[in-house]
Amino acid sequence: MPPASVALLEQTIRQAGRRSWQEEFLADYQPVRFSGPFGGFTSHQTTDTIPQAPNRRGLTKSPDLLNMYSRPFGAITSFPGHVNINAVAANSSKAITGVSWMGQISSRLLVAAQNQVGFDDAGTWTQLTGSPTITDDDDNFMDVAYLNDVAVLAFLKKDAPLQVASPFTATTTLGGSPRSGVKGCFSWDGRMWLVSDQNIDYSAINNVASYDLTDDTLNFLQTTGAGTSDGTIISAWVVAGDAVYVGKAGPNSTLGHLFRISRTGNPASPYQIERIETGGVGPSGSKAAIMAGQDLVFLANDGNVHLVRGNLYVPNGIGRSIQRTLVADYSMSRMEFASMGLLREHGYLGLSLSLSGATTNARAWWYDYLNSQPGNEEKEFWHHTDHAINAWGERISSGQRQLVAGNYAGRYARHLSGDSYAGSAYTKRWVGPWHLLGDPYQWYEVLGIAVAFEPTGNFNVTFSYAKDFDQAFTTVGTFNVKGGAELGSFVLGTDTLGGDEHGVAWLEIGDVMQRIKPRFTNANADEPFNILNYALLVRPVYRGLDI
Amino acid sequence: MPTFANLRARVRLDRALKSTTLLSVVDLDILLKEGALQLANDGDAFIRRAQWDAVASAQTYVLSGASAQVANYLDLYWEAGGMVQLTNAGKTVPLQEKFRSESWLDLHVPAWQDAAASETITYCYLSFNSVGDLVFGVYPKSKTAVTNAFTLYYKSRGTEMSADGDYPWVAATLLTHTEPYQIGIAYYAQWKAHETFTINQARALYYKQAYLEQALALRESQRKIFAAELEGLMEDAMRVASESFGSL
Repeated sequence: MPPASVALLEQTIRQAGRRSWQEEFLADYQPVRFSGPFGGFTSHQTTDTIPQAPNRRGLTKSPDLLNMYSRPFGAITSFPGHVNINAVAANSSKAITGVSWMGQISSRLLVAAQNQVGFDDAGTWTQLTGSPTITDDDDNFMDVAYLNDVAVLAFLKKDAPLQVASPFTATTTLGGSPRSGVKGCFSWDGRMWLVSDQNIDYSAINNVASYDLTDDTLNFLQTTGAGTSDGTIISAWVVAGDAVYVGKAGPNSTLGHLFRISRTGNPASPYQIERIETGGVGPSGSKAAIMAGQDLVFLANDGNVHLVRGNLYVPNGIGRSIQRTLVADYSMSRMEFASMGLLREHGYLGLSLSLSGATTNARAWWYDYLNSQPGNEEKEFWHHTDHAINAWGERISSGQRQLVAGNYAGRYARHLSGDSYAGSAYTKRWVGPWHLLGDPYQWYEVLGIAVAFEPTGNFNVTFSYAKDFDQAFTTVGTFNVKGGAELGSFVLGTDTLGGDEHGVAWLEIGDVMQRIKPRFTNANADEPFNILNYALLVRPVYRGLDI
Repeated sequence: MPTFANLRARVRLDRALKSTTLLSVVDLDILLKEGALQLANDGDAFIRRAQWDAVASAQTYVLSGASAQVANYLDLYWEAGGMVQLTNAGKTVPLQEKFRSESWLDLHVPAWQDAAASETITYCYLSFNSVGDLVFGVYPKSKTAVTNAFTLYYKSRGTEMSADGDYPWVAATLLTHTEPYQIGIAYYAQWKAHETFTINQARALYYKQAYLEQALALRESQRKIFAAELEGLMEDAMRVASESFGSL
């Protein structure tokens, strides 16, 4: 360069000119905005399959989602909390193995905790007296069915079925000499139905204590068309209005089947079994099948979740997006103890599973059965949580059907929006898809990220990002967001209104990349957060070959 | 302020240069070292005074090159007088007015190389030797060995910053009289970084301007040290004039 001189300085000043700071600095940056739809989880190995460009919307593919959910066109939201119903753990903190609402006859929750059953009375679990022996095992799921003001209790470990009737103080052994080996029950068509490995026996009309094991039984050993047995056992039974789905599978079977029981109209042979072709899959366990809307949804031993509408099986299932993750990281041998429940308030189906090598369920996947499109893999939304749920049930409170989930420590809790998290708080983490910042062959300097949070109070969210597929996340800092005011409950002249309409926050990144995968994590365990959208300020840069 | 690490941090304050992917630590260090050199040259940041002995019958002395008499030489610093001779009799003789070019000697003093050695220097010159060293020459040759016969005021490039705690030009020492201007080194790096890495000409020109302002101001500041009598006279004259006649 020429030596410094006043003339050179004057020339430089003329060249530089004087412009506004925005022209000089920010003019080159463009906002790249990301808003909905924010879908759920998929375990695609090809991480960059969704085309992205400034303001082009794409679906979320995230392997690191935890306790967050999002609806298409909705905010990314912290999962609803849950609040323990029972103040003192049931049965010395043993696992909850069954939850049933005795609305028809008693309007209370009947809750099993391994080797005991009891009623919940306004948050206090009280053991029913006179309980015969119940296998003391956290996998011993309880089935409860009601008929003629009597509750029948059956247990997966094939304990003798029980019954509870008014005045509901004690259980007694079910009368009528039922078959041994009963592991489940349901009430349908005015009869009590008892499920064993190959038979489903039904009672006389309106009589839980009358069984004819010769004539009033449906034998599923022959229905498979495999002679004595193809290794399958009855694995699930789900009442669906005018019919009952029965699945066959089992831990020792490579095959699975699905059937549907319906009425024939013939008094001499009142029921028939219809086979539903599923391509060889059936429910993996007694609690791994449920009715969601008008559909039967069940987990199979292949790690996929399947859906049947009427007698039509939706090909390929609805869980392809999580299947590879389940097979890789979850316990296949405990698929038979997976369990399902419904969070009707949100239209979510919960699936509780065990991780590889574990002996208890420690993860719950939530399927958005209202917004997903069965059969369209990219629009099947699964959300990932570390809720540890063993047994699922429901209760009715002020007319609302509420999800009640039982854990492994003697607690049963309701799940509702606005509830805080019971016990230790949950990490809430949302990881975005790989966002291309524009031209895939162009490098960009990312100045920072602006996030619009919902004004849900004061909270702190740690932000990290990855910029290449094999790279660990880099932590940038923490969004500190002050909550907004909620109008409607303030007292004029007393309350001070303040806060932001939206919690808009900014963090500087200052890095160069082609793509970015953002990660938001609650900085403090008890602080939920909801994200409306976020935008990056980026500028294309020239780089040589050394990046 | 400012050590090598401080200068790096100062450059990163420009948020467009925060990314170490865009502007790596290695690349930034290159620019900062270059900036220190440029500021030493443009701003006369590191003026040194060196002395060496006269050698009998020596015609030239190396200033820049192999076996140089002075360290890290950039240029004569004329503001301080450049070169001063100390005679065997202990007299100082300024040589500023005696500098000629070698070609001038060839033209005006034929066979000047053959002149008998003398203590009295008639002319002196700067030139290059056969291996490209910059040399200082005297005519006639030095007659006898004299300790500290030559005193040179010169611009030095100093030593390069290397460790995080190194200061510009003298690694272990902060030259506080230049400290206000040392930010020019960061400006230089920012200028070149925007020119090279972000390709942002507007920002590059902004920092180039900032650098030049610091360099010229530092040069002026250094110059005043060797113009104390002029500055003092002017201040004194203005004060006297103000008292006597109102103002100038």
